[in-house]
Amino acid sequence: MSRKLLFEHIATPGIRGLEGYRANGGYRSVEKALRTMSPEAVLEEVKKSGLRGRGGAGFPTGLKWSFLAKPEGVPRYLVVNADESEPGTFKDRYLMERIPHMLIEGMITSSFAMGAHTSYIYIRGEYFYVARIIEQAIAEARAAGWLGKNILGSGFDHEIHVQVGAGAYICGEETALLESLEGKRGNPRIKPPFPAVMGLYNCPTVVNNVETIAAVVPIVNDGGEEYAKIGIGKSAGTKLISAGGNVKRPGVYEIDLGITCDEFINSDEYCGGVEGRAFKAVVPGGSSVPIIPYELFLKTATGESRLMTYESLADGGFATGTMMGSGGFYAYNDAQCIVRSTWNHARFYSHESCGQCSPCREGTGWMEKILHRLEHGEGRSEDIDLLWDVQRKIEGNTICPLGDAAAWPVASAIRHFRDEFEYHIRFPQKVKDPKHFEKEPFARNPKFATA
Amino acid sequence: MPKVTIDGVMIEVPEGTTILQAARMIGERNKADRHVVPPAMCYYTNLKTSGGYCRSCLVKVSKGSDRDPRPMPKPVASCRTNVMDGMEVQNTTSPELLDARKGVVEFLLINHPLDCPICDQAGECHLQDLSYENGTEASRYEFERRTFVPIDIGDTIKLHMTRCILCYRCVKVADQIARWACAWGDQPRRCERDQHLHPERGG
Repeated sequence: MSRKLLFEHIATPGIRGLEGYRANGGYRSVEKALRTMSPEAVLEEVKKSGLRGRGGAGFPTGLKWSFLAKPEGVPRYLVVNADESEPGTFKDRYLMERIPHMLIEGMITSSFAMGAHTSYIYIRGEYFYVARIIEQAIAEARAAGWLGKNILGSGFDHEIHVQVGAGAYICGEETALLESLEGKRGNPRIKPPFPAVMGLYNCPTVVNNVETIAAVVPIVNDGGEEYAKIGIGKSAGTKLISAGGNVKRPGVYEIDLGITCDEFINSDEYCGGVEGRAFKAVVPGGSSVPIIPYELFLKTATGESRLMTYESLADGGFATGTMMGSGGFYAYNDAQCIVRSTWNHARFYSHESCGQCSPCREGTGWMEKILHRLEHGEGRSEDIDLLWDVQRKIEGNTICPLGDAAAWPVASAIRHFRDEFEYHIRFPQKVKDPKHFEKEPFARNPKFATA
Repeated sequence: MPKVTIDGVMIEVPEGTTILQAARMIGERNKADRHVVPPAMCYYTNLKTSGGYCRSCLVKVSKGSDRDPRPMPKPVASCRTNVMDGMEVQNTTSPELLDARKGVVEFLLINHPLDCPICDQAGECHLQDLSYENGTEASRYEFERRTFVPIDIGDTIKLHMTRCILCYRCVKVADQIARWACAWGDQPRRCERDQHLHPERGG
């Protein structure tokens, strides 16, 4: 049974309102930080906790905050990235819907540590109703004196603004988010300079994920050392995983980092096993991370059982491993077609590419067209190698990570499921039916089950 | 002043020089070293914040600087990356980089009409030069190319978006040099250009 730090009171009635949240120990971290701690002490606790960014990259949060430039007379900003657009990921939405005050509490405490007097929540356009929930929570918090001038008589002022995006995936990339927040087209900036030096309105800025900021609350309440006790090694604390696909119990789960992958996917406490005949493949961290066969998800290439940690999921590199990503977990059973799913991903990235730099703008569209041809029974034998070459030339050559995110799912699908691609070329008549593998599950060549 | 080595040729340049500018300085100093200069399409010296989009000037940084000698994990756009003291850069000496550049040239051309025989720019065209020097002899792209109807944007300019490689140089010239509310300088018209870019998406 995993500990619940973020979701401890998620099912308590009335937790969405300020009264219910306060009755269950809400805003304790703000009281503790503002009354008894210095900003440096809060930063120290976050560093000690080993908290890593929960948005996908897994960068240590304390370190990110310590990079924040502090020139005299220039404001600093905290921007919360609630532009959760990764296919498969819906953990932040659940958190903001159910317990919005936790995010606000985390933002006040984090801003105190950074010395930021204004912070922004950038919410995805499709989450307009969540923005309303957050706005209401902010109004409640302001009326109760948790926001505004001189909070708790400590002399610390803070204001939070909500900005709704227009639904572009690329605005989840931190520099594109800042551009969009400034009112421009959401094109990623060329780094350096990094946002910690020159971010929003050319001021030092920290951009953090919703879950990261919410995790600051238990860290300040119980101390960083207590938080670091959960998890293994550099993967400390708990993580929200939004599980979907062909599992019996889809939903958002809070797990201790370090439970085994087998426990997560098969135990009744979490996903509850397969819906259908058998698992074929797993994407553990949202659509951008490499897809891996079920056998490799349970056990690494060296035969050890895989754990739900940043390091263990990445074990074996891209050849046999994958990534933790943002926690958008989904599993495929044997009735699903990997080529179809890869095509679907490629279509998404082609649609969401901002068009700024050439490899991503042209390459994603090209991949989508090749995959469309393969999936619809018009593939040619050279298509697989062509696809491999195109993704290889996108990866690493673009301004922002969207190019990599578009290339990895294609690369991993070819690496692990090449036989399925070959099947599509060999039996074009069979794959013209979109439900081809539901009628006749694909018998995998065991040669491709590992490496 | 930082010292930088590009393809084994060393030069000392002022602080704040980009890798591309340093390479051009090497090329000017000695014609025999001209091979170290990476090609550049979207970069234009007189424009601020230009460059970084086309990726044809990618170079490999095999040593970051004397202070931090780690290599940079990905190829970097030489037009937007400043040199550091002791930096070592590979341009033509890195086969994987040349391969990546070949890919960039192919990407730039997959939606280009290749109607050079009827194009006025042919013969003095940077894109032609780039393709000739760094590209492959044939494209592997066999799908329909993006096409647009040419638009008149004034008495003297006609816009052929079909031939555009989106270097953003016209936008920046209009913003910074012409200072004239020309076609793409103002926001609403930018959206129009974007509509031309992705007609299948409705802009």
